[in-house]
Amino acid sequence: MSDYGLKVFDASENTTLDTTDKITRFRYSKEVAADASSNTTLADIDGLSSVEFSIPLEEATGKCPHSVVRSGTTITWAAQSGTYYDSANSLIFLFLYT
Amino acid sequence: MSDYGLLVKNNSEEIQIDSTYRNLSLDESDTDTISNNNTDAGYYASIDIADSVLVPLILFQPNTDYFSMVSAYIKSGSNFASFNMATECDGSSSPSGPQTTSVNWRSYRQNRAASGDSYGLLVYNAAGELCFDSGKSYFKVYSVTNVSLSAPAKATFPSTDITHAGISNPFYILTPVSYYLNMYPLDATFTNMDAKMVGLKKLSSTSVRVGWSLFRRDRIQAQLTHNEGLNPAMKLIICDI
Repeated sequence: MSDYGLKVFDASENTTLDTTDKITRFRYSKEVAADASSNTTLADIDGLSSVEFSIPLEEATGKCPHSVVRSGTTITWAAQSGTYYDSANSLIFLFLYT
Repeated sequence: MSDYGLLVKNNSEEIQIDSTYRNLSLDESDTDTISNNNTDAGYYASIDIADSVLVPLILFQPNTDYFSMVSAYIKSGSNFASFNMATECDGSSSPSGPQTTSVNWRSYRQNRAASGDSYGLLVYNAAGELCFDSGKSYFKVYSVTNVSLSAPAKATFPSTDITHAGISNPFYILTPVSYYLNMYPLDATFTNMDAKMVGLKKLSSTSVRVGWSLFRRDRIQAQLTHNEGLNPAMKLIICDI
C-alpha cells in the first residue's frame, strides 16, 4: 500500500480511485470542416501524456478523418484526400491521462 | 493551474484530478450486434447513445469471429447522438448475406449528471462543473501501444498481435480510423474495388489482433489496378474498466 495519494470509494465500498490509477481528463475537442487544416497550442499540456485523434462526423466509404499530430504543446490537424478518398467533417479530440 | 479545488496525483506523481478539466466517467454501456451486408448503407451499424452536447469517448471489446472498428461519431443537431461501428463483409456479392458479430461498448463523457451518492467525494471546477464524482466509474489507461502495419494489397491483410498479460478482457480504443482501397482486375471484364479498414479481433482474454479487413467490395466493368489510402501510425489504448 502506497502512503501517497488519494483512495476513494463509492457507497458500496468499491474503489473508484486508487493511488496507482491513470484516469483520464477531457482537455480539448473541436469540430473541423472537411477541407480545414490548422493548429492550436495548449500550453498547459506541457509534460503531460495525452491521446489525440480525429474521427469522422459523417459515414461514407472513402470519407477519412483528419490527421492529428502533437508536437510539444501544439496540436496540428490536416485534411487528407486522394484520388478515391477525401476528407470528412471530423472531430478533433484530446484527453490527458497523466 | 487553478488555485481552486483539489489537485490529486497518483504515486507516480501523475495527475488524476485537477479541478480544471473534467474526468471522463462512464455514461452508458451495452452489447450490440453489428452486421455488414456489403452495401453503402449496410456496411456499418449505428448505435444510439444519450443525446448530449458532451463529446463521447467510445471504448469497445471486439469478438473472436470478425474484426470490428468504430468508424464515426454522429451528431443530431448540436448533440452527439450515436456512433457507428463496422465489421468485415464476406465480399462474395453486393449486397451479400450479412456477416454479423457482437461487441461490448462503453461510452465515457465528462460527467453528464451527478451520481447522486451522498457518500464519497465530489470535486467541482471554478465554473461549477463536476470534475470528479466518486459514485461514477472511471476507466484507467493500462497501456498505450503504437501500431504500424504494412499497407494492405490484393488478398493481403497485414496484422499484428498484441498481448497484455497483466489484464484480462479489457476494453480498447483504436485510433485513428484508417482506410485503404485496392483495385485489381478480377477477370478480363471486371475490376474489384476492395475497401479496407483496420480493426480489432479478440484472440484471447489477454491478447487482441490489430489488422486490416475488408468492409466493402464493389465490382466495376473496367480493367484497373490502383492502390491508395491512409495507413497511419495507430495507437491501441488498453483500458481497465
